[in-house]
Amino acid sequence: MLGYITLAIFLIIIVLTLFKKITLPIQTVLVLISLIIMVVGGAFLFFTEGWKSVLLLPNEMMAGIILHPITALLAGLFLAGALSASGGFEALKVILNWIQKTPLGLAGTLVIITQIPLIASLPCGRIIGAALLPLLFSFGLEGGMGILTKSQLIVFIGAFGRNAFGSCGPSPIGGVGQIGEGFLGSYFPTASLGILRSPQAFALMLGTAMVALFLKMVSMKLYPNDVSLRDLPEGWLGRKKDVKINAPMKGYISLVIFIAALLISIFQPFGKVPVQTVLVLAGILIMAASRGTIQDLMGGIILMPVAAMTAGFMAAGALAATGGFDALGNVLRSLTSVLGVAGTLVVFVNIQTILPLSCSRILTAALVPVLYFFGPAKFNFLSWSQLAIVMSAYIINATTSCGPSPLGGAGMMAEGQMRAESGYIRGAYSFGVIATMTPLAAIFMKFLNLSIFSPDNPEFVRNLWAIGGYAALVVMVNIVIIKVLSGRISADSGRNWVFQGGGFCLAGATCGLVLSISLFELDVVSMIQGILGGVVAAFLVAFLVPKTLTLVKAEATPH
Amino acid sequence: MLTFIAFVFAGVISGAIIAYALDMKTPKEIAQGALGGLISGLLAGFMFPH
Repeated sequence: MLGYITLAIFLIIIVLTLFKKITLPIQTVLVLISLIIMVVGGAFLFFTEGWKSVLLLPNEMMAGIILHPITALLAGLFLAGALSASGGFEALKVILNWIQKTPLGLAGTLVIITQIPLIASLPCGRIIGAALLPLLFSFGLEGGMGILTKSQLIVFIGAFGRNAFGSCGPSPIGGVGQIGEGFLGSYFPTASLGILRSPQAFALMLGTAMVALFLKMVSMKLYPNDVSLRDLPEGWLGRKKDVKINAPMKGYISLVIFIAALLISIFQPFGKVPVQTVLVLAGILIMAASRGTIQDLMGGIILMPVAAMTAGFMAAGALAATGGFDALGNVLRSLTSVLGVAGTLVVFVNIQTILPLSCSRILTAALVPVLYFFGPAKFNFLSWSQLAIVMSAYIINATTSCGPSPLGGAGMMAEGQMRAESGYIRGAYSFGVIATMTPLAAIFMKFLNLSIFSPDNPEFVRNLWAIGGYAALVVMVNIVIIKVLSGRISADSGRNWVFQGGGFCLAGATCGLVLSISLFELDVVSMIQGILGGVVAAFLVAFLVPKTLTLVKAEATPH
Repeated sequence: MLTFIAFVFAGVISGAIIAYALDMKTPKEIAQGALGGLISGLLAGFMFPH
């Protein structure tokens, strides 16, 4: 009973915050939730079990805080802060400017820049976003270079933002995926080496492309007057000029140290060394080489994700201590009688895109333990390999949820840089996650990654053709949906919104179908359940996508 | 090796689509986008566990 009460408190307050009925920062809200749950739980336990149980409650809550990802994240931010302070990002800009003059041309360079966040995989996409978004802006007229049109700049910034604000998932230095890898370590002994990283990266790479296409063909038509960037004047491209970008030598040195630290963390050539040690040493080395000050370093560190993760762990700990997760597990188990296991899992996998918060770590820390219950550890609905497949889909969905969040989500950085109204990129970002990334992460895990992390198990296959086939199928379905949506957009915003919802539901159905096939093979009942679950999840996500942005602006203007 | 191939595949496809979405639709520009994607895929493949 107590578990259901505390779960209800948690969900109600989160939803109220999402709909801006509570306007406090999400970290504050989570700490308040934890306190309320502890008070309610304490009172309940006092009357039912006595003082002794009440005294044990804070202890149980604190036990829910897992320190490894927090310290890894802090160390990662420390290193990225040192890189930023020593001019490492300036050096990167010079290198990118040079690449543009090679046979790769402008198109190839823009593609590489778009995928850089994924390759660097920093612990928070905001770091590379803050460093490189101004560079992207400089490609436009107002930024100085004047080599991209307004439309190109919108797509470029939006796609880069999508890639950046999903890159914290596969990060080896305190990434979101490490939360899930900790649980999978119960069965896969080498899971902590990054069992969830490749599926996320593969999905993010293709998902970024779908977001670019959605922005170009749907968002720009849906919200034609909501970006205040200036376009290039007629005939401008013929007289473009080169803009000189310079970087200090210490920037190049720090970039080399940073890359070396990243490689040592990933490949561990010197044996088992904690990732935190490598990162902190590299940070100190960079600061020593560049003679930076502590003030420079602190300026580059972003504490928000650390606070978000800690607050998420606190709320998760409070829920765990009062039986909230048991209650959620029971609710989901009941849901399986309606949507089946496949349908329930598809809804659960998409839950963080349905409830997008400012940092994905908040709910990931709270909900991954519930997903774990679906496996052999409790309900036994899934085997370990199936749990790994669901976890990969869940984590990429969760990781990318800070992008479309209206609660100070990272996507707002991209919207700010493209001078767009808040909510402009929400549809594109959410679509890319449901339609492309979630199913592809599951496929990659099933047909390749399981066999890499458990090579002796003959059940796990390596089938690149299956990965290629499913990826091509998913991409084709996405392109058709985007193309049809693009052709149906009219001046009627209500009608557009309904059509867009229909497109989302179709994408959700595809996601559910692919996910159920990756879990239960060609079981028809599971496939139908998966499709239903996908439609339900996509409908809930589409509900949050704004009909118009100008209307929001008009409503906010006092009469 | 298989991880490399998978990432190169994803990189080439996504590079070509991103170039198209960026209004760079001539065969040369699409090919440059795909090449950029190939390089991204190779780098990504190198960074992730095999």
